[in-house]
Parts: sequence; C-alpha cells; structure tokens
Amino acid sequence: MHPSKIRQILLLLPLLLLGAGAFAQDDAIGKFFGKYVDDNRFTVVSISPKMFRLLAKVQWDTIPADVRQTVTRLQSLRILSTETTPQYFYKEALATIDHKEYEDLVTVRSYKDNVRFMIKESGETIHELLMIAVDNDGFTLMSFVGDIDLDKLSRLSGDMGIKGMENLKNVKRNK
Amino acid sequence: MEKAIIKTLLEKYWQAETTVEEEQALAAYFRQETIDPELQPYGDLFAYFGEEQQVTAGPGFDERILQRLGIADASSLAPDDAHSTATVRTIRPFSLGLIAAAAAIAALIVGLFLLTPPVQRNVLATVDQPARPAEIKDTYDDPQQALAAVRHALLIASTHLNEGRQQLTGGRK
Repeated sequence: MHPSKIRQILLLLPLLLLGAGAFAQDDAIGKFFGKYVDDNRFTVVSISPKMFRLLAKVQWDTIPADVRQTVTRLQSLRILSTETTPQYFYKEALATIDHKEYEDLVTVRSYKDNVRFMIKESGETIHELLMIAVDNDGFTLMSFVGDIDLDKLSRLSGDMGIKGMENLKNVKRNK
Repeated sequence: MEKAIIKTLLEKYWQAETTVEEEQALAAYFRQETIDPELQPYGDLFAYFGEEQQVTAGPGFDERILQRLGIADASSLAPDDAHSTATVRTIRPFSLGLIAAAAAIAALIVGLFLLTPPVQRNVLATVDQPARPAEIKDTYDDPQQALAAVRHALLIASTHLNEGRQQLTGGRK
C-alpha cells in the first residue's frame, strides 16, 4: 500500500468513527426498551399515547383529582422489570443513558436498594421522568413521558405535600 | 472506374471496416489534384485529417511540460531514455497514489453506508417495539386496566420520590 493511501485512511478513520457515533445517539432509553421488550426475562408494561387518549373515556368518579390531573398530562408509560441479574441490567441501563439528555434528579440509596430519578427537561417543563430502581430481587426501569408535575406526583403517594417536593428541588439545586 | 472503388472504400470506411492500407489508399486518392465532383465533399474531410496528422509538438514542448510538472532541471536530463524514465518516475507514483487514495475514500464511504443500514433495518424490524413513544405497543387493550397500571406505576414512582425526601430530612435531623 502506498504511504499516501495509508495517510488518507488514518485521516478518515476518526471521521468515520465520529459518523458512527452520531448514528448511535438515537434515543438511548428507547433502544434499551427495544432491546428487551421481547426478552422473556422481562416483564413489560407499555401504554401508548393512543391509550392515554382513550383513558379520558374511563369512569373517573372514584379517582382522586390529583391522580386524574397527573394521568391526563401523561403521553406514554413504559416499564421494564426483571428478576434476573438485576444489578447487571441496572448497570447497563445507567450506561445506556445519555447524561447530556437526562439530568439526575434524585438518587435514593439504602442498604438494600438503589433508586435513581432522572428527568429530561426543556425550559421549565419536565418532559420525561425516568426511574431506575434496583434491589436484590429485581430491576425496574420506568419512563413517564408527558408534562410532568413533580409536586403532584409526589402528592400521589399520600401524606406528602408540596413541602416535601420543595426539599427535592433544593437537593437538585444544591447538587 | 476509380470512383467506384473509392466509393466502396468510403462505404467500408464509414463502417470502420477498412484496413490501414485501404485508408492510406483513400487518403492518397483525396490528395490528388483532380477529384470527382461527387466525392469532393469527402475530399475536404480527408484533407483536414491529413493536415491534423502533420501537427507535432512545438520546440521546447518537453521542457515546458516538465517545468509544469515541477522538474526544474529538465534540461539537464538526457533528451532520450533518461528523459522518458524521469517523466514516468515522477508522474506515475503520484497519480497512482491519488487513485489509491480516492479508491480508499470511496471504499470507506461505501463501507460506512453498508455498515449503517443494519441500524435502520433494526428500527424497521422493531416497528412494534417501543423505540419511541409513538411506536409503543400497548400492553393493555382495556383503558380501565391501563389506567390501573398507570396509577400503580405513578404510586411506585411517587413513593420512591418521597423515600428520597424522607431520607434527606432524616439525615438533617
């Protein structure tokens, strides 16, 4: 091979790698879901935007207003969970996530489990809330897409009020 | 008589079937002073060919070419064998390298395009998979069940969020 040819290839290689990288940056979490959605080790729950529109026709009388407001603002929900090698999938999920896209909101670590919340924001609105949870019994990845109000979401589990979320927000800012 | 022969030769000439000798015969005929009026138009054509064949490189042509190629001391080279080998040596590796480089670039670009389709094919093959929110395949057909699942998920997320808060406030006490 002629030296100039080698030089050309050497010059081109980084460019090619850059190009390949650009192709790979296609919705990391979507890819993670796509990879395991048909894997029978995983339990999958997915609710499409179409189904969320259909939810409007459901009987809402017995459902708390907070829940209703939160649900109607959602566009889609995807859950992947498994009991097989949870730590492995937890690490893989974390590695798959593009940290430029998703911002860490809060991490809850205890002796038995590890839960991470990440958000995708544009301006003041949170477009996606990602929850990645792991303990010795299983791994769960949850993605809520829509207009997400963390105050309301926090209130859903019962007695926790806006005050609680204020703390969460401070945590995020102090980071 | 001669006209008939020339006409057949011309016929062959237009079909590009004439031999070198036949073409020379044609050229010789048209170089004559007297040409059959019917064949006169072709005469001009052959006269033109003849003139063009006389064109040769002007004096100093080799030197100018070599100068253009950046070989300054062209005049110092012997004007026979050395001359041509020098030319060959300087031109060929350069153009070969250029062709090789171009081929390498083309091969790599083709390679890139051959390597990328699998990603796209994958997307096409997984249309049913939730690669994007728009492509999510519903787990439930019944909105009631879907709502129950959403509420359950929200509750889990909410609980974990509050867990985080509790740990933080607990830590501050």
